[in-house]
Amino acid sequence: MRILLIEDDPGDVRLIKEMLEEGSKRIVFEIEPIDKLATGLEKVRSERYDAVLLDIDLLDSKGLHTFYALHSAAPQLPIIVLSPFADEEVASEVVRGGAQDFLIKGRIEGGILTRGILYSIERKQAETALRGRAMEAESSQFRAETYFDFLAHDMANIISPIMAYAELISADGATSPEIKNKAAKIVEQVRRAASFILSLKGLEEAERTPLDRFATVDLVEVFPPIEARVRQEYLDKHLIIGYELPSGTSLRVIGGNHIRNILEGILENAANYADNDTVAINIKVVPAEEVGEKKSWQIEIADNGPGIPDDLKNCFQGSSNRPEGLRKDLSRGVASSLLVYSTVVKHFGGRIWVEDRLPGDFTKGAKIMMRLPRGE
Amino acid sequence: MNSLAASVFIVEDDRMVIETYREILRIYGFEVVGWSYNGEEAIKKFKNLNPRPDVIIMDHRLPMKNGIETTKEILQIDPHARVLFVSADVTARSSAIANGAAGFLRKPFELKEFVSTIRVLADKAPSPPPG
Repeated sequence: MRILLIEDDPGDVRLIKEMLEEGSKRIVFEIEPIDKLATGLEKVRSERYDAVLLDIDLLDSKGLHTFYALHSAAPQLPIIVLSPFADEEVASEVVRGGAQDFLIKGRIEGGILTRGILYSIERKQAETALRGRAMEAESSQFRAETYFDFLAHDMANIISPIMAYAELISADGATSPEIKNKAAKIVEQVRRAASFILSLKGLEEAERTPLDRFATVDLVEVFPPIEARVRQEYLDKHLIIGYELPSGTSLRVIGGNHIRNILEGILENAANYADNDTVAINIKVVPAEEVGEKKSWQIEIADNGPGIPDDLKNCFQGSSNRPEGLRKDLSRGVASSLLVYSTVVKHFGGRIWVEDRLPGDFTKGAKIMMRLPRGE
Repeated sequence: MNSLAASVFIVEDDRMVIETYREILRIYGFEVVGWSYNGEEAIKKFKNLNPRPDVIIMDHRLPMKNGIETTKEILQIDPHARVLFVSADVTARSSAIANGAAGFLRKPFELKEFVSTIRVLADKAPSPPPG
């Protein structure tokens, strides 16, 4: 085992050599003593050592600087700092800065020093492996984000012409009603694809953003423009939208635009999946202050659509960020967008679940329940 | 070509999207005075356009120079240029507006919204659509 000993006191050099010889009969230490930092820097750059024993007070460098200079020259090398003083401050500073150990010269003997060196090498190896895994995870996350970004962006470019041409066919006066009807179906499906990509993109962005960076939003101001947009989009359906909101108070929640998009998505789903021409949606907001929960607003959006069967309702149980019941091999229908919303809302400390509009009979419509932490 | 038609210049790197724009604009009575697949080329072409187009449709993610950088340079050449961003990258919206874009549409766009936005920005009445 090759050790570089940087020490300018010949007495200490002799002492350390003796300690290491007697400290371990099993391991042979090959010690190379030098007395200047400058020489040490050259050595660690050009040769291979298993560890460095470093006295931080040398002829050409004193104190913490000695350690940092050597550590930055060879960050992969375990360094054990030796000092004549039991200076706690210096000790914790060098260990925080990346030294493997801090030993006080007068208090060491062969066994301690040998173990110190061996443990330091092991710790450094573990540290390096851990850092490698963290970097790998970071780089795989970066790749996933990048691929997803390409996918979302390029899909929008790919579907833009499909949607535009289908709309051109619809708008053309020469088109027969039957063809218009078919073109409208293309437009509807492409819109669905676009909104699905957007909601996944929203999820991906929300998960990357720290909580305190999200704006808050007042539900009172959010509903009217959403309602207007959904009405505009579903001109062929008769929408009845009712509200039961607490009066005279702001309904501010955390989540900014994400919450806006989620609420719009829920209303759109209600309008889109309804199998009758008259879509009745009721939006109710009540305060929720359960024990152990943050002060929240509970939003209940009930519709008279085809409802959500119980097995799909269960997708939203559990508190982890990976919703239980999320199996990639099963279709989730309308629940797939709700799953995305649920994951975003969980990120804000809220939750989403599904109830029946008429308890016990899912076929009479769904009630989407959301709890969102109140914002300042 | 109808001399009263509002004129449009297109900066977009997706050939199919350019073709779609040209088709829509032709049907709705606009005049497409040119297009570029990248920002550098767009700036060169824009300098030589006389008269200047009423509206420039600008993508954001372009080769070599992005839509915002291209817009800045175009506005230096002509501060009255009206640039309409049409991009899938909604994160570029605020920066596009801050750097002088006159509007932002998200891809995929709705036909009506696309046409009416260009009409408003062009501030000219193009010939009505057929049918």
